[in-house]
Amino acid sequence: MYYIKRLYILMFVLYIFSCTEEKKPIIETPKKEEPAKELSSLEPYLPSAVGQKTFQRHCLTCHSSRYIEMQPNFPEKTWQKIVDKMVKNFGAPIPDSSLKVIVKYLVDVKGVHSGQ
Amino acid sequence: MKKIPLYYIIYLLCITACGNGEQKTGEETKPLKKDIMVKADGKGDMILLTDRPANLETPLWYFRYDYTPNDVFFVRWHLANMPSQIDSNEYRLKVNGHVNRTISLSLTDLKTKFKQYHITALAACAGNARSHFDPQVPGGQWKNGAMGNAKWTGVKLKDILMMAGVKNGAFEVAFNGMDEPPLESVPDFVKSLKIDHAMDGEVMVAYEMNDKPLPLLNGYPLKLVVPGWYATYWVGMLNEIKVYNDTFKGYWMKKAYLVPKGIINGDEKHDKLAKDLVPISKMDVRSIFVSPEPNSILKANEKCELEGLAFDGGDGISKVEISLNDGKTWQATNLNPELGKYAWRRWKCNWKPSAAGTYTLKVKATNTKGETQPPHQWNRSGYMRNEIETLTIIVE
Repeated sequence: MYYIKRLYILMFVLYIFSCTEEKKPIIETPKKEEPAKELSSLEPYLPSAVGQKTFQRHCLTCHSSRYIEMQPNFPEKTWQKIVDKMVKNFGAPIPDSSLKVIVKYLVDVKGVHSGQ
Repeated sequence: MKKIPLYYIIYLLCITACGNGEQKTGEETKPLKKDIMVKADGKGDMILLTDRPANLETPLWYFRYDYTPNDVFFVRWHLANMPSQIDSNEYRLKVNGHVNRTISLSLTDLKTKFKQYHITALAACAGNARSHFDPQVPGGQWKNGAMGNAKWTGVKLKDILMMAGVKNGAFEVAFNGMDEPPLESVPDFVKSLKIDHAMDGEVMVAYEMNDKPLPLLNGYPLKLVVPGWYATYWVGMLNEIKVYNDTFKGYWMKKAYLVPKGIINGDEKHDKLAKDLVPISKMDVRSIFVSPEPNSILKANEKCELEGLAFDGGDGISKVEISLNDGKTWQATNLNPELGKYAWRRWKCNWKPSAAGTYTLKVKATNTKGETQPPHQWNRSGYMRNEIETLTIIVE
């Protein structure tokens, strides 16, 4: 009986304590739709199309394909400018013969086509 | 029984079909892209921009806090080769170039040989909200989460430069971090400030943010803090400060992070690009909505608290106005107390929508110099975004 009484008191004290703990300003936590993926195990995805291997060989040394996946769809002249910038400003060692293939691949996967 | 409007049923069907993904809430809003949430070492769940190098965005929700928690503070790197861990005992910050003596400071030196300095300041990426530009521009497709407010603790840059002794004729100071290019041809990420700016007693080298060491992905162990200026200057993993007696000519000052010269808000026309460009510098005036979030659904005749943030380059926000009718009329909001002149300032306003429908809300800040936000703004690189923000809200 004595122990049960003590237990009640203990529970009451714990209850009060838990209430005071809760008094901090609380901003409700954001809703999680699905668990976040580990950044290190992420596998960026770009659809396969003609030129994918060339793109992978020359572009992924410096950055992952998320750099393309993240972009909105752009017309060919924008992708051409971006690839030129990679070569001229960042010295991407891409042979001339591969430039067109890469631009075409980018337009295929992230291009603005007529009517879009 | 109350009649349910047809558009509401269609709307419900739409959100059930595509989750948070693609529904359009009006002509002016773009379809929302679904965020990919990721967790990096030493960080909490954040919105993925890119994985290598890491570029991560703070979910809007956290902007309800005055100080952005370190574990969700935005992450921005240019070069993929960076250390995955750093030995704090071995770490040295070198100061060299046009100085009387080259010095090499350990973290203990910084903490014991200098007077500690604090500042509360907003770090905002030059390209924050780039994804909002119309027409869209290439680059990191940030929403509003490439910024964060923190209390920075460290040492004044001026005190460090004085220990090395700046020689007469010093003109610029350049800052380099431990991140390195994956290829030799890629220019190393180095930024510079004019000597007077570097010596102004506010620019600092921080070893703590919000009273804790910086997370590795935020530039542990040292970050340059340039209050009021875009975060491109806030070099992380800072390990070299070099004084020049002439202009620093690095790629990231001469070719990248440029904006139209002498044009307020860095504005230009896409069919008539500016010819004269200068390095980006001080932040322009901007305000955003934090709550409710885009695509929230409110109930008619129920009170709601609209809340957001306003900031500028340090002159101070004097008023924030909102419009509940697509800019036809404006009303003042209440400003929370200042957290510091370089911090963001919270605004709040009660709203009780009286009828169901789609509402176009706008927010606009003005600073003490009378500078405010334009109805439209654009530039080719997607910098300094401060067009008046629009929020579409559905009231049932």
